[in-house]
Amino acid sequence: MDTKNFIPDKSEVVVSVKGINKSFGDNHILKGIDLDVKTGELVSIIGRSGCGKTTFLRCLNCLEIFDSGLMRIAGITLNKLHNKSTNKGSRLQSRSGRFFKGFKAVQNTDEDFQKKVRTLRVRVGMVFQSFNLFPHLTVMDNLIKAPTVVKKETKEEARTRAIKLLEKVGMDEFVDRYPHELSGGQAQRVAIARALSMNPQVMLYDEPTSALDPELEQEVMQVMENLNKEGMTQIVVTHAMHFARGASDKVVYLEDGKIIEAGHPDVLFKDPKDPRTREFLKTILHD
Amino acid sequence: MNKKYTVSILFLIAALFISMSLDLKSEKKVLRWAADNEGSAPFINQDYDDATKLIGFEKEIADALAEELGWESQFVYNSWDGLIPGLSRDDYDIAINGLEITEDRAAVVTFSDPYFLTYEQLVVPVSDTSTKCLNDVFGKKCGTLKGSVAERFLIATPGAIVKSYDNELTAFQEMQMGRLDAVLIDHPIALYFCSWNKKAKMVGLPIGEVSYGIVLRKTDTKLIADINRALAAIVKNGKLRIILERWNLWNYMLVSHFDDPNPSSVGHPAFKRFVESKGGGKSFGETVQRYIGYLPAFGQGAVVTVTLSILSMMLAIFAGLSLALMRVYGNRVISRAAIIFIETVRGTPLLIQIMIIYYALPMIGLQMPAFFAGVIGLGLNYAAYEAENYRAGLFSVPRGQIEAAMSLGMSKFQSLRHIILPQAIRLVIPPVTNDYISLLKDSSLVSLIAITELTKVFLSFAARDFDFLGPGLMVAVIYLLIGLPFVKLAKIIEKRFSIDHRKTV
Repeated sequence: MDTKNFIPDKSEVVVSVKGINKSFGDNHILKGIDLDVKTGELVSIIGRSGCGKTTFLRCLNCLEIFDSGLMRIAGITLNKLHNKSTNKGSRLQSRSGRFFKGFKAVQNTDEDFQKKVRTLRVRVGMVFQSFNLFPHLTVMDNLIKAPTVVKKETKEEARTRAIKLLEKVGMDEFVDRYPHELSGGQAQRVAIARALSMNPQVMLYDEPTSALDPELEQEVMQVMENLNKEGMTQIVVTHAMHFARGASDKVVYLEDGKIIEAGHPDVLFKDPKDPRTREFLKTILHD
Repeated sequence: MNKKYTVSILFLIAALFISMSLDLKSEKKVLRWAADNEGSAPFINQDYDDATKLIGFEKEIADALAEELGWESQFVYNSWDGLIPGLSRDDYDIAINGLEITEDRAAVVTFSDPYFLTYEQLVVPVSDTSTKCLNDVFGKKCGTLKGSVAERFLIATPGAIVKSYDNELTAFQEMQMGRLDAVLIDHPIALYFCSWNKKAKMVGLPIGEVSYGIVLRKTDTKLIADINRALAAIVKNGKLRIILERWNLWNYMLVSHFDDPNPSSVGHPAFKRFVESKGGGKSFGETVQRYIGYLPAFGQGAVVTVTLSILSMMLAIFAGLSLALMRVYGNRVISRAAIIFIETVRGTPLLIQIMIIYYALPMIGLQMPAFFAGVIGLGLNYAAYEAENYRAGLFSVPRGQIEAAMSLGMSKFQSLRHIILPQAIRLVIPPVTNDYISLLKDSSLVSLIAITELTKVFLSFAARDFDFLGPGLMVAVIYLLIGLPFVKLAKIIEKRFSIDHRKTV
């Protein structure tokens, strides 16, 4: 794994997607998305509910497998040619899909593709709207489970790093607590630390503050801004416009499965080029 | 995982221990004879003073035969209905338990020479003064034993309305409650019942002729010769006559059959002891005394019930988890197989399943001791129900959990093992504990295959002492007491885990 020798270089493109399409049945969600993200950038994806921004983020982590297109993330290249067994997969998916949407993605694919997906997931961290902490494990165990199981790290190694990560998110006093004992903001900070525990090159956030009270939002956003300063590449799907405007290096406006406009927040928020962007910003900023 | 290994090892050790204890045979040749001690006197039942001992004229005959052969006598319990089918299981070699020699039976087993001859006896309520013989039962309801010679006599009797019962006790009870007018039954049963029950009397002359024989497998030609030789010997040296006289069973048929007209002076001590045991126990103190006497046997039965149900539950928990995983994650074939098993087991009566495992599987060469059959029958039955519990548990772990696990790079198996299963198992612990309590109660069904657990102990006391009330209440209380700790446990666990899951994070 090349994560150790990874040196942030703001000019390097670490996420590059071309012509990503995704449908659920007849419902065409993503209609050819192109996006490049450079190392260390914080990219906010904004748009109306149902515009496909969450689906797009999930595709980046292969929680959904895109139907066609090309993805190059953290050194892993996935393109649709790898996935030849779609028909066989869809039959399996109909039965077990009820249960684990996430498994479906893996079942869809051949072994080589599957391996790549798992490597990709190790290099890409994901933070969910509903935190998804493991309720049966303490904060510490939430952080060391994946490193010990997936990377076969010793518990000591994993613990030492976990403490550092918890310090980083200000949760080092809560190592022995269970998730149900934490407030939403605390839980989300632990979830960020958990994603960082695998030493990812890219962090994805799916509406990380939507489930939080306004006064708790700030503590999570602060963590993300700190990570930005350290040079972490981050892609955030968000409804929090002040965050998108104040903290991002780049904002992407998505509508109806297509990128309408992308650019520096100052430009996009002050002077949107596209009338659709303007319309969206008008409704959302008036609320 | 360590805990799981420990538990499975314990299971194996227990299984080994049990199968060993069942297989313990001494060097000396053994006469393994089977009977059902749930019958009433005088055949074979528990001693009035010490319920762990057996008494009865057939036990004495079996012992005398073994002694004559120079072998060791070993009693094997088997339910009466299963005595003949059970021969094929090779748990015992002969059965001696009031089995009338009939052509139907002779078609499937070999009978020894008769060891006892008797006749059918009509029994009516004391208040009935009009019924004097079998001809008087025209238009009356007559009870008897299912499949017995007496039943055939009744069917051939004009106007008799025949009611057949599984055991004589039920027939007599029906008569006492006025639902039957008369009972036609083998003379020894009538004699013993009327000896203490002042509400019933024997009327009429001896009817027909019945001979009891020892049954053996048709293939055991050597053994049948041995048995007949030993039987002839105890007839000749007078041992058989003394046994039968002690039990007040020596009759005119035996005199002519064995050609032994010489009276002896032993009297009927065994019969008298029976009558005394019935005559006593009337006062409150003596009744209590009798109930206290049940306790050691109930204790043994309780140990068997608890062991059986715990082992069955362990099997149910592991097999149930495997079935649930097969059903949810298996490929099409495996998943379908699990569904078929689960639905079949849940859709058929447990009693039938136990019967099939115990009696039918040996026919295709799959044989196991009764205790094992009980554990497997109960265990697999409950496994089907546990599988559905686990499945519900697996489904109720939020989808976000598996996504979080996989987003951290875990494989399908790793997320299942480290994230999903631990949560699912917590969710199903309360229902599983509750199921254990039902299993404990359902374990009473295995009393039907040769396992002497609580219910079996209760039934044999009830039959011996014609008393369902006392033993019935006692056994109910014992089941309650055994189940209570688990009810408590279920409540504690439910409370604890519901707090853990109060908030979904």
